[in-house]
Amino acid sequence: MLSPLKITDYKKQYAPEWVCAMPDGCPPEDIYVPFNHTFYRLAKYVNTYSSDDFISYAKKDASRNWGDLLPLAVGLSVISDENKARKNLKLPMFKQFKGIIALTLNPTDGVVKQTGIHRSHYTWWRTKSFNMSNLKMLQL
Amino acid sequence: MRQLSLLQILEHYDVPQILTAVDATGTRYLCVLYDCSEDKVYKYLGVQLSENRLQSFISGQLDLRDAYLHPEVENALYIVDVKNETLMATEMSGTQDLNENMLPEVGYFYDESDMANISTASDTYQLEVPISDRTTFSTLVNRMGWRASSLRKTVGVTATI
Repeated sequence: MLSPLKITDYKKQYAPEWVCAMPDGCPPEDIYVPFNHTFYRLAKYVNTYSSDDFISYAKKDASRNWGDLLPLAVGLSVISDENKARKNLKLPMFKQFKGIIALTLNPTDGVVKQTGIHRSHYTWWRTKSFNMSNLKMLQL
Repeated sequence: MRQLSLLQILEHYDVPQILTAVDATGTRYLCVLYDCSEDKVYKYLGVQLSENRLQSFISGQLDLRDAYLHPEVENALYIVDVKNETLMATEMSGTQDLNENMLPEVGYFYDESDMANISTASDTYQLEVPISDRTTFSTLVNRMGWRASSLRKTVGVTATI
């Protein structure tokens, strides 16, 4: 379930420690808090995942002027629809990706918001308390 | 080499994966990300295409791979380098320059029904736009995500959209 909340209220309730310094206005004011909610994220390998699968582009390409895309670049893309995640593997940039991670997120893992042109695409602003040790890989 | 302007991001995952762009003459390009170089130049495969063909892709009737393997005209393929906010397109000599790493796999059809910004509430307008402003107006329509159901020339100095 995704529950709408103001980011100021989320910060009061959960005192999140973000994985990176957040620019002004990020995460945005109107966010959703996940409660046992499953999202999908592409992974480099078919059977396992690593911390490399959770590095934002703002970190990978820190010198870039991200402009309007900065709030998305400091977060991570996650997809709410499994079939859509599988379809994305057909795109050329993802030929190097071989797996899909199923993430079941909870409030202490961070907040999400639908971003971009697709309903199924969310940006996830991750906290340091997100536990990477118990994730599920989908069979492809 | 020519500079392009971003029109719309059609697929975002961490960074824009599929986008449309336009050059100074109003020609549209459909671009798909295939690499990011070590010096952080985002490399897209671009193809010039007509509005009808772009709409065929967006409406899910055109396989993305076919847009590149079977362009509408010769010399329609470009490498589009994106660095910061600048898009620079370099013409390829033809489909023989394509390699598999640049191309999407067979079966990537765009899913318009997943688009988030389709509003059920809309108004319809009929506008008369001078022919000299046709390209500018088409660009505006694309940037705003509006739908122009037809672009029809009339006899005289105006175009009715």
